[in-house]
Amino acid sequence: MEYFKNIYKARYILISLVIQDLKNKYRYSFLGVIWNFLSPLGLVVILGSVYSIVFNVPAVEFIPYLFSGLLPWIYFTSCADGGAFAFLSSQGYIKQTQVPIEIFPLRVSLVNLVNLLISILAFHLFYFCLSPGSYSWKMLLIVPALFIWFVFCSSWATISAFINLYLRDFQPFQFLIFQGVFYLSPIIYKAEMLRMHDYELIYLLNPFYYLLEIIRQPLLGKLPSLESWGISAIISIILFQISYYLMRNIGRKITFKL
Amino acid sequence: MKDINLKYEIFNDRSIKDILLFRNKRKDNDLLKSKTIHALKNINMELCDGDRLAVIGHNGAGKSSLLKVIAGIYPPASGTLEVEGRIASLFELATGFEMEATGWENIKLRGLMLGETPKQMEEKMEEIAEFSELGDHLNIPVKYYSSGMFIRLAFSVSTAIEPDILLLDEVVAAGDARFLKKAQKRMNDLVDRVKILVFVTHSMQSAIDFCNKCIWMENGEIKMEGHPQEVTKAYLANSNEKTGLTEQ
Repeated sequence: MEYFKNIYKARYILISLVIQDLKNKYRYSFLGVIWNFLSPLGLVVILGSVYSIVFNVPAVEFIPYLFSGLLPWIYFTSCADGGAFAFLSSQGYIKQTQVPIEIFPLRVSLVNLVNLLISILAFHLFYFCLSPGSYSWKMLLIVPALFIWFVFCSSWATISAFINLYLRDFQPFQFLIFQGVFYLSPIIYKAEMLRMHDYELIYLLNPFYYLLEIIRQPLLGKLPSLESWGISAIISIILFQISYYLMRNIGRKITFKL
Repeated sequence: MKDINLKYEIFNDRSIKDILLFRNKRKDNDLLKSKTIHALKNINMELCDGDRLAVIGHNGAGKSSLLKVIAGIYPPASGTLEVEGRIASLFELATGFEMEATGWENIKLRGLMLGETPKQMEEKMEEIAEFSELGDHLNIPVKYYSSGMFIRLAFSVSTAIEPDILLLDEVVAAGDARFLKKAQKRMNDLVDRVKILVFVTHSMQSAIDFCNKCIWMENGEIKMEGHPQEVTKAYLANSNEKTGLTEQ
């Protein structure tokens, strides 16, 4: 398990880089960390208003639903987008030092994970005022869900980093694809709506449906289905295997491409 | 305890695959057309505790590539590399800074990148800061530094480490005359501390002063190896011949 050995060896560097990135993000801004709350909330308010005014969907129930799906989605797309440049942006370190390259995609997914955690905190501040009755032990299931998501997003970030290095078209291509996937996933609408129109397959075949379920349900205080857990875990393991394989077989050869 | 031996065995070819997107436009350029650069060919070497190896040769001979392979930065296309002990490499000093971070933060990060633990860095911070003579400047983001300050910072950190094996690539300390003198001494101390040194240089005198072994590289191969005195002499004779200069 050279992958983990290398990460362990470079753990201090990884942590220092992550802390630097977090500091940098809000270095010259006035509101700082509050943006972690304001950005998703702003989005949610806009979308929620459109839906409740234009489509007559009851806002009070809809907004937490929207919020709880949007946060993990943002986490994923930031990892995918940031991951694409993980090696390119650190080429100075890669070409001049012996730092294990495994840590660079992880840098991206860890920074975004911290942002996600802060956003989740903000979500709870909001949700607790709205629906305190929903709070129960079931919310603790967010912990294993976050672990699965971390593996999923880190693996994707790693894969993205490798592919983008060899094919710079990958990053804009990936961005577009996920814009599409966003609308194919029950984030801004409920899965039931697809069922009503016989478009069930769209979400049943969509891996993100299951992944979103395992985070969204605990956030709202409900229990995700075993099916969702199973499929999410399998997807994450598969992605991890792919990223491990890429790391092992290509590894330091990326130095020639930088 | 750390091991102290550097055993460096059969170490073969290495190619750089340079796939350019604009290969059509550069049909007249041979190097780009072939798409591979055979930077090191069948290098076989072994170094032990106490060895100080000088690597000399013309530009493009493969000296820096050799160092980078030892450091584990470039993977060899074939062959094996066995290294025992902690390696620290001092290549370009001016890269590897986090621009938005302060001088202090960069000292810590740089030290970590060179293989130190946070605790070790904690202990050395004061000493490094003092040597660099950057004083209050350490509190501001390094993006405001002059190039001389960058080099001082990098140099101070890079020479405060204690590796088993040190790889030097013509590291030159810039700065004013007074700093240069301090830097010389600090460099000497560092070189004395390490167990194995591999030193790429264009200065024949340095090769003779610091090292007990020397190799002359040309076109990716070791053209000659031996004692610094003889190898440098041969190298100089060869260069003078080529440029038609008479020996001084």
